[in-house]
Amino acid sequence: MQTTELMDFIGTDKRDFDVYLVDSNIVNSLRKEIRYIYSRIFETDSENIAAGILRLQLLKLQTSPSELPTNFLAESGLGNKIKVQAVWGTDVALSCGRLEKGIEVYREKGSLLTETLVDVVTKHLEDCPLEEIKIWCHKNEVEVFQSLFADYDVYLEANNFISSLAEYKASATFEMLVRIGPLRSQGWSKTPKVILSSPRYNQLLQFIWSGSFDEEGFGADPIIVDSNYLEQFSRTEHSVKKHIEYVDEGPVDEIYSEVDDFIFLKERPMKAVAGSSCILVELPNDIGVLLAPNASQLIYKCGNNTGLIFYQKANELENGSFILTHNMEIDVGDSSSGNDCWKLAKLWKKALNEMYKHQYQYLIMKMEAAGINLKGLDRAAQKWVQFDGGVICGPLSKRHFQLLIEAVLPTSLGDYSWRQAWREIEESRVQAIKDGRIESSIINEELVDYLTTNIRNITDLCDEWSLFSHDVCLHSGLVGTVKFYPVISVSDGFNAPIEKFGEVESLVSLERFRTNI
Amino acid sequence: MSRLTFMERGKLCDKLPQWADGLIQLGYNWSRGRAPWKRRIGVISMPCSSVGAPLIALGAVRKDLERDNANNIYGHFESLCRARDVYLADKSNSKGVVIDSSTPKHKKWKFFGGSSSEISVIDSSYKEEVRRKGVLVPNPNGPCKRFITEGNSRCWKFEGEQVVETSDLQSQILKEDYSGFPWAEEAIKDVNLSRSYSGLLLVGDGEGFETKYMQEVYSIKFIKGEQSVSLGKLLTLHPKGSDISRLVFSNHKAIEYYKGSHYLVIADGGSSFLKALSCFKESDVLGVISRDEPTQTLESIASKLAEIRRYYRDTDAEWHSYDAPPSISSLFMEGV
Repeated sequence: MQTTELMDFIGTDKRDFDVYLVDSNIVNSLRKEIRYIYSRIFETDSENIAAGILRLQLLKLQTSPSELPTNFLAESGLGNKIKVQAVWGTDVALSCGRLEKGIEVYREKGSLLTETLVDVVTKHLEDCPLEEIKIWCHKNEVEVFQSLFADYDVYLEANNFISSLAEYKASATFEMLVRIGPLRSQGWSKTPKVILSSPRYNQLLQFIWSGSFDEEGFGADPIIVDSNYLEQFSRTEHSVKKHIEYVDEGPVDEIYSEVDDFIFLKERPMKAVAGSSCILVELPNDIGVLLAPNASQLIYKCGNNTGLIFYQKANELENGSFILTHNMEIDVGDSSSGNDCWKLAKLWKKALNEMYKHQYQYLIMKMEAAGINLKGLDRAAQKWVQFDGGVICGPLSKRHFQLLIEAVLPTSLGDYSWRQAWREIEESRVQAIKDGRIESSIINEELVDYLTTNIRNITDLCDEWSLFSHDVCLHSGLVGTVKFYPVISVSDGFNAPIEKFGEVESLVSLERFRTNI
Repeated sequence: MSRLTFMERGKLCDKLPQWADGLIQLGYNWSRGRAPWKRRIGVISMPCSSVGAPLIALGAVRKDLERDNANNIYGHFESLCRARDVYLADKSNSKGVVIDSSTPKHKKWKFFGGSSSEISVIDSSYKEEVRRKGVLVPNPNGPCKRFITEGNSRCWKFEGEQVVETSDLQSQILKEDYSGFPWAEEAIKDVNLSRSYSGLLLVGDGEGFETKYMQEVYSIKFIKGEQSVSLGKLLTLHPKGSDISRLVFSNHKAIEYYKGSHYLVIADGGSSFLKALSCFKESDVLGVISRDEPTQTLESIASKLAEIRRYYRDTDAEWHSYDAPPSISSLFMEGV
């Protein structure tokens, strides 16, 4: 799109921003109950998976057109009233009961928010062509919107949706942008500020539950904070209220009632996990993967005729790309040849093995007395006598090794010193790391080479935007399967243990690592 | 006199659009009342990616053409002397090659010696040792030597740089191409049409003519009557052999390698702006940012500005006054 065209379109006239504030007593009750149960679980066990599931549902309720599922209480272990009462107390059990009942009523009566949305948008369709309306939503929600509108004989196409900044930038100007939930630039359900600072539409329709608030300063320029583009909008609030007869005897404590859910959850973060900051890459079928922001990730990107295979930093990933995971193996020769050289290790391991077999009690006692203060001395001793692969199994700490040789196995090394034997262990570890790196770099190099030469076949496999896999078996010994996962979205603000990185897991279990609500 | 019109991606506007005119004016006014010891920093926030930065550069180029000393003649001999001294002190540091642009073959020469008033150079193909009967011996023939003085220094240029001055009319820029801006205050100095100037640096996203970035820049055309000239040509982005250049261009990925001194660095995009701020601490830096750039880049810029803000004060001075539509926001700061 030409700059002049966009500048002329934005012009100087104010554009309309209609906010529909939807107030439903059932939804208010549901939110209140979820907040209550979450708080009670959070106070006792902030790492509990149930807290994670409740948190996710509360966030979804705010921003998603999807109905609240009936089974999430059961999934979070809160479905069994007797068990809940025993573990969490009577109040939580009663609250769970009310929540369950509330969900039933909510599902039976339907969501007032989506009802209002469909009603307002279909009315606009009388004088606005369907292709001029675009809904900003998560890619996973597209089908939900389509089925919602299909019930009213309005058939939304893929071009009626925008799910990323790239799609917004590529779009021509249009009449109406529709958004559910508060406008936030960070955390859950974030939307780039550019939708206010560079409007490519004439009218913005926002549908939001009452008691939910836009992020402060969302309309401000991302760099020049004094400029507020919200001033270039004519904002009108429409209140929509519906009261349904429903027994609501929920908790009356103020903190569980009128409060913004995002603020509520921000004040009650899941237990800070000791880990590193990471990003969540959402994949189809409610799965995702956590990656270090600067991790170099193998990527496949569809082109017009053919695709491209390349490495990209995880935080530069865009939806529309595929991330590749593989279980490739390659035989790079015998890496355990070092065994012959580790002569000192053979000596002390032989002595340790002898003691373990014939003087077990004495060995454990000597180890304890020497100050090798490990919890599982038996397991440690069993491991240290092993001799597999290229790495010498031995104490991880230099001090423990010194104690083992000097106090437990004093004559095992003959004229050699424990320092020489420790150097041998260190060398074997360095060698193993080197071998691992060499193996990994050979796999990466061979794999990229293979995939690049077979890019046509891969492009054929990727005719639909869904997960696919490709088996590889090469003469060079490279064998395994490569999986291509389409990237739905990338979110920052996560903190997880490093061992969780790179593991494809369900979104529910990964969402608990979200620190930026 | 015909009116100046504007073409963007093949679409003709009946007049110069307000946003484009405003940005050219901003570049034109930038050096007004400038004190070299007070660094100026500016940020232009655009609603989309655009040719805003090259347009600002055009304004600055236009202003430079009016200034007596905006060419590389001044101080050129001294910079050749400095380069010679650096090369002779440590030959591994640079190639020490200069080119005589007055000869058609543009022969290469190497620094050899001289004094503060004269530089001696030798043929760069001269070998100090030659092979005789399979053995390397000192070359019995001396090198072909030439002398650079203040008087003839304008014919000499550094390897990889544009000529300092040209007498070839084809290699000069045309005065008419830069006229037609009604707000321009002074006349273009004729001498500048034949002289290069490297006081201005534009940092962008592509360097070769075929890159998407350059294609965007060249797609902008200024039309006056029958005449049409592209923005790329006006900025002298791709000068040929002996053509002069009035601006230096760098890809933001290679910005660290540019050691030149520039009074103004115009950075196109967030990454360019962040790099320019740290690489050119003595230069004014004006960044043109698109609000639809990745959030992470925008956040980095905001935090960088917050970090350096204590050393600057916001200004509403005349040098950055320009007529811009409300969708363009700007911030200007001057060193305290």
